Amino acid sequence: MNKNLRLAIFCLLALNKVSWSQGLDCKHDPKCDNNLSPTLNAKINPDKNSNINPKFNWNINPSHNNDVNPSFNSTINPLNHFEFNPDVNKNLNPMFHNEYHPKNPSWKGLYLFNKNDEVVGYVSVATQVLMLCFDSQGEWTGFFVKAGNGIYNHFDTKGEWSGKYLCFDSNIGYNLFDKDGNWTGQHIK
Amino acid sequence: MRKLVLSGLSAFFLLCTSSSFSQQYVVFKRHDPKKDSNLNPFMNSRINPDSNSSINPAYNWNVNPIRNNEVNPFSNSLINPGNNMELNPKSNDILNPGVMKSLLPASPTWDGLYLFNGDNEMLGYVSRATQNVMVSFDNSGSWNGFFVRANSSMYNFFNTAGVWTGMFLVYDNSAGFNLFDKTGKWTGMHVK
Repeated sequence: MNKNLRLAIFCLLALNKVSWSQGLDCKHDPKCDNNLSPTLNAKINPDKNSNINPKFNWNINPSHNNDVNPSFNSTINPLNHFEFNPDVNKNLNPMFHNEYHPKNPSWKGLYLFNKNDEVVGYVSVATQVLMLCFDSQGEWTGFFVKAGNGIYNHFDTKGEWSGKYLCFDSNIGYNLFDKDGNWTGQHIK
Repeated sequence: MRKLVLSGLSAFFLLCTSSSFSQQYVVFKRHDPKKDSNLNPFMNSRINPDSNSSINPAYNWNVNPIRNNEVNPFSNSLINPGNNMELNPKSNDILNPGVMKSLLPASPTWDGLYLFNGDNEMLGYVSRATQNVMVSFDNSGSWNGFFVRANSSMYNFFNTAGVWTGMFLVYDNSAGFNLFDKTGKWTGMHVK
C-alpha cells in the first residue's frame, strides 16, 4: 500500500514536471518520419549533400560571403535595425508577447534537434525574417535573422552575432553550423 | 418583569453578535481558498504562476519590474510614491489608514481582500484605497505597507515609509493576485 502510494506520488510529480513541455507532432518528429532525419535522409545531410554545406557552397557562408555577413552588411544586422531586433522591439520579444513563447499552451513552432534527433530547443517564427529560439527548458536564448535565400544568422538576446547560422536543407528544415562553418549536428524541423 | 427585560436584552445582544460574526464568516468564505478550490493556486493551475507562464514574471516581462523599466518604480517616477505624492499615504490622507479608519480591517464596515500563505492560511489583509493604491496589514491588523499599481496587471509593494521593498503583486488573470519577491520568484503567497 505504502509502495503504491509512493509510486503514485512519483508519477504525479513526474507529470507535473513535464506538463508544460510542448507535444511533438509527428510532422516535426524525425524519429517518426525518416525523411526529416539527416542521419537517415542523405538529401538533407550537409555531410552528404554539398549544395547545403557552406564549406562547398559559399552563397550560404558568412565567412566567405560578405553579403550574408552581418559584420559587413548592416542591412541584416539587428543592432542597426529595430524592426528585427526583439531586444529593442517589444512587439517581437517573446518575453512581452507570450504567444511566441513555447511555454504558452497554444504555442506552435519548430523544434531544434541534436544529431540523435532528440529535442534540444524550440523555435518560434515571428516574422518572415525573424525566428526566436529557446533552449529545452523554454528559456529564451536568442534569435535568427534572415541573411539571404536559405540562410539565417544567429544572435544572442542582446542582438550580438554569435557567429552561428542556419542553412536551409533544401527540403523542409534547417541545419545549424558553428562560426567555422562546421555542422553542429543540430537541425530544425 | 425586570428579569424578563434583562433576558430579552441578553437574547437581543447575543443575536446581534452572532449575526455579525456569521456575516463576517460569509464574507470571508467568498475569499477562502480552503473552501473554494477555484481560489486555490495549488488546486487551480490557471492561477498558479508555476503552471501558467503568462502570469509568471520570469516568462512574461510585461509584469516584471526587474526586466521592464516601465513597471519599475526606480526607473519610472510616475509609479514611485517617493516622487508622486498622490500615491503616498504619508502625503495623501485618503490612503492613510491612520486617518481613514474605514481602511482598517478592524473597522466594522471593512470590506477588502485577504493575503494567504502557501498553505492557504490567512496572513494579512488588503484594503483598496483608490484605483491605484491598496493598503496592506498583517494578520493582527497592523499597517505594514501599501501596493501601488504599475500597470493593468501588477502592483509594487512599498513599506509604510514609501520605500519599494522589491516585492510585487501580479494579477492571476482570474480571481486575485500572486506575490513575488524581488528576484521575481513566487513567494507562494496570494491575495484573494
